[in-house]
Amino acid sequence: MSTSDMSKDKGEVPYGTLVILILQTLHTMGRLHGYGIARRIEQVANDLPRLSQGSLYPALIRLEQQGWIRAEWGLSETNRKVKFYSLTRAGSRQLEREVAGWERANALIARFLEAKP
Amino acid sequence: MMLRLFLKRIAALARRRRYDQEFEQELTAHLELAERDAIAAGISPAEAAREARLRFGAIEQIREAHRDSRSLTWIQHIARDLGHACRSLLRTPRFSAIAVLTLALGIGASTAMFSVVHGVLLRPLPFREPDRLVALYHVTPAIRQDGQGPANYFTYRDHGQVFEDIGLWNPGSMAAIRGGVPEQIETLAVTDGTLPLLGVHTELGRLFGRDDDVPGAPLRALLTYGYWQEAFAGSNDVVGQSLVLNGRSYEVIGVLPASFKLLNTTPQVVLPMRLNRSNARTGALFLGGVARLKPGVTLPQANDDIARMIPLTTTLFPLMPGLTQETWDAVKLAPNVRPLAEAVTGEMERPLWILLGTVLIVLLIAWANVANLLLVRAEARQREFAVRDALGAGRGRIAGLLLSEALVLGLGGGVLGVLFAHASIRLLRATAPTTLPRMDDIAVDAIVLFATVVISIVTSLMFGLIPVLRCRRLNVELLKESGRSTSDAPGRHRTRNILVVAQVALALVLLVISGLMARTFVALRQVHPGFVRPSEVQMFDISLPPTLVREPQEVSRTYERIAERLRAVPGVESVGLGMVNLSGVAGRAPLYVHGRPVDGFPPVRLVRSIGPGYFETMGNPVIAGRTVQWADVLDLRSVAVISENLAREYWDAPTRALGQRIALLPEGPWQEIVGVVGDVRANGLNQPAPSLVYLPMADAEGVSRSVSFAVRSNRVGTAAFMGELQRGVWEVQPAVPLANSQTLAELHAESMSQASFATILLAVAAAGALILALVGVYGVVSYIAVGRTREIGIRMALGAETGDIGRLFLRYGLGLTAAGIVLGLGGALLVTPLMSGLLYGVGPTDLATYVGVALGLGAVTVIATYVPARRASHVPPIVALRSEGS
Repeated sequence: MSTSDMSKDKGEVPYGTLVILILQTLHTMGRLHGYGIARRIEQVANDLPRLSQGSLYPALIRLEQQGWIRAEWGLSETNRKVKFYSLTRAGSRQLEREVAGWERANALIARFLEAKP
Repeated sequence: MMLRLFLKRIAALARRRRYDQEFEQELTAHLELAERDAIAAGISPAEAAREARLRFGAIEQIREAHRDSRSLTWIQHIARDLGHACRSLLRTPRFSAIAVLTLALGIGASTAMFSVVHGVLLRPLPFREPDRLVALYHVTPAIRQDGQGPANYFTYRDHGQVFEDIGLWNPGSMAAIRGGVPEQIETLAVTDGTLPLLGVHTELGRLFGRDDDVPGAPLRALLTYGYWQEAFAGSNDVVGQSLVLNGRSYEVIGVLPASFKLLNTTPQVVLPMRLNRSNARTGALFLGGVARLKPGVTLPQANDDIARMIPLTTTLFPLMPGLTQETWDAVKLAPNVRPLAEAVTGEMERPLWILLGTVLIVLLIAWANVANLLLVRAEARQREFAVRDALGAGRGRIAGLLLSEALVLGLGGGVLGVLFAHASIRLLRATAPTTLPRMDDIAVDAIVLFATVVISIVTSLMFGLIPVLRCRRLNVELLKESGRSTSDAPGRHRTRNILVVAQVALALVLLVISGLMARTFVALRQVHPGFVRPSEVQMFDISLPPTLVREPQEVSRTYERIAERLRAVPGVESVGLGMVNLSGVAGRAPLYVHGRPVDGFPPVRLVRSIGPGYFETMGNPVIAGRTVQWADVLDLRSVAVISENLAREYWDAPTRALGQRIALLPEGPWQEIVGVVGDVRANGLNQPAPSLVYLPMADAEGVSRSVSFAVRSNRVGTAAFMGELQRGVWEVQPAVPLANSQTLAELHAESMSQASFATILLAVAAAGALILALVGVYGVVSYIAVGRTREIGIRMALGAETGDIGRLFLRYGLGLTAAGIVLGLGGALLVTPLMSGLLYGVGPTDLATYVGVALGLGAVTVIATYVPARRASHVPPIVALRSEGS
């Protein structure tokens, strides 16, 4: 994901994907710091192309501004001050919306690909 | 959601550095964790650091992206839209100029008027916690607003339960000497509690204490800020200096701040009242009262507390001489505690709100006009928008552009309007009546500016929204028309028709209001005030303190010598005098007529103390008998002169009143009526002439040491004449200042000032409304005519006459006007009763005004319709057929 994608609207697919990944991660794991989120996404994605871990941070700050996640300061495993992120109620609702949208889009694309000439 | 994001980003902008630091902290922690995990996975420490950075990504780019995410990209969008709107508006300079000027007119007028209302009515008084300050008045069935007296003051202050403190005030005038020249200055006497309860702090020195406010205490004075600057050049060691007033020396103990202003007094020096408790008598009510309520006390509670103490006063203090308990009870004195702010604004409150209402109507009309212009513009650009839409601009962007244009126009109008308001307030200060209180508080300040900005933005969004809503119906069909539109369907103009009808209706309401006001003004000018050629009467006050004329008996003789000397000044026709003030304030007292016993309390009449030559100089006709002579004054004769209406009330014919006896107290002293004179509109021109009793200006205690002189001459108004009068006075009595010199006409103008002030402002507002409404009608009819040019061509090709076409549009324009006039008449009938208190000699539903205004407005709108209609009907058919329409 390039930086130019970051500044575009959330309607863009790569950014939208990242939003779902972050929200879903926080939904299943609860409170995590940035590195934790990146690790979890990598573990789940497993064999998919690696994402640049840093690109999470601009996305996180936007999600925080939208009110979907909240950040609190805490201590990392290496005893360093770090922000821990968790899902807000608005964030849970947004996740539902994003997932529904994703499923619709998926279904549509699947039907297109199945269609024979 | 948008708003919250916006606010958060604004906040982020302000805390940019902190957010940067936070990001760096997260980054460090992240890399450290990644490194640790890599080492755990068996990678060498050096490799691990590299690996962590690699997997993080391009740090610098991400740092930038992080910043971008926090930043205000959509503020930049707005800026781009506004820039685009400006360019688009500059391409049509005539349209933009008309729209901005129209808005500037509406916004400027409402800003100016709001400044006045804000300064006079809304701004809190310059005292601590002004909400708890009240003015203490009394009310009786005969007198709407009566004052306080020493007996009431002592009773209320000692026994009141809801007041933190009570104070009295009383304006006056004394002779001072500045640079060797005598001058008359205004004074304000207060009790010791008055200034502290208001929350006044001195600029220098101290306020009066209880010790200063008792009889026999050393004479002490406070200077007001203005007088301190003027007479003492703002000197810091003024405290302790002495000030000579009426020949006695006062010690200056302090200076009041520049903000000090008690009601509408304008004193130079403030003195302690030094009331003598042992002399206080029930029944004397002539002082002003203020009080601070205890926290949480309501006005009804305060009134109840006073009502409880009114009978108490009688038990604590003896009645005034000549007053019996019976007659005092019949006065039915009742409390009238009112908020101090209300007492300050007095009778100007209603006219000001009416004026604000009318300028808001002008703003509405301006708004309708600009909405109409934008609508026309948007419709002309339908194809442009359809193309943009088809190219994927999105409805949101198009709406954004339209709103941005409206916003630019609105803000432009707002900026110009504030300049306009600033200029008109300066004009207003020059023309406003002296009865307009708190004149100095009127200014375009932060609150007014804020209101203007809000008005500009809200109005621009309002008129910007109309074309936006219209463009929602935008469709691709427009593109198919290959540039050639059919004739406009009448239904498409509904929005515009409604706007025009509303404009005409609002303009009619304003015209009716200003028409009624103009008729009031004319009616007032025709009222005979009771005196003649007021511009030829010069008036001034003089005082003869005991230091100048020791013996009381000598005072009258000095007045007589001055009058004689003034009569010798070239050009002087007559000289009269009376107690301060000749034409303004008069006393009020119940009038007893000998041989006419009354049950309870007789009607209250105006009482004036006058001297010889008074009626001759003012020009009151003598109906019967004679006027007051010097012998009446010098010999303290018990005579009286009454007004004609009073004579007719009791004795039917003026001559039958002569020889009758009247008194101000039930048991006398009785005064014999020796003359009857013409009525005078002493309560203002819009009030009926009150019945007046004139007594010679001497009473049992001698002659007042302050009098007003009136000199009639056709030389009045020249500086040389005034100088000759002054020298004349000084020849008889040196070192006497001439105070308050003004002509009777100036005094007279003051009583007209409220009506003329309101009339001028309303006329200006109505003229603006009329012009805007005419522009609106004209614009709509001509636009529609242009839009239907092809239809006209077809009609004419099919044989329609030029006249038919003209009539078609005339009918259309007149239909709109007629609807507007009918609605406007209804609106005026609803609104005008609110202003009935301002009217004189004309009712709020005056038929002539309504019909006249409706016909006049109808006539000018016919012209505004006829011009474009005629143009439309004179288009050659072939040109019309080829035209593309809008």
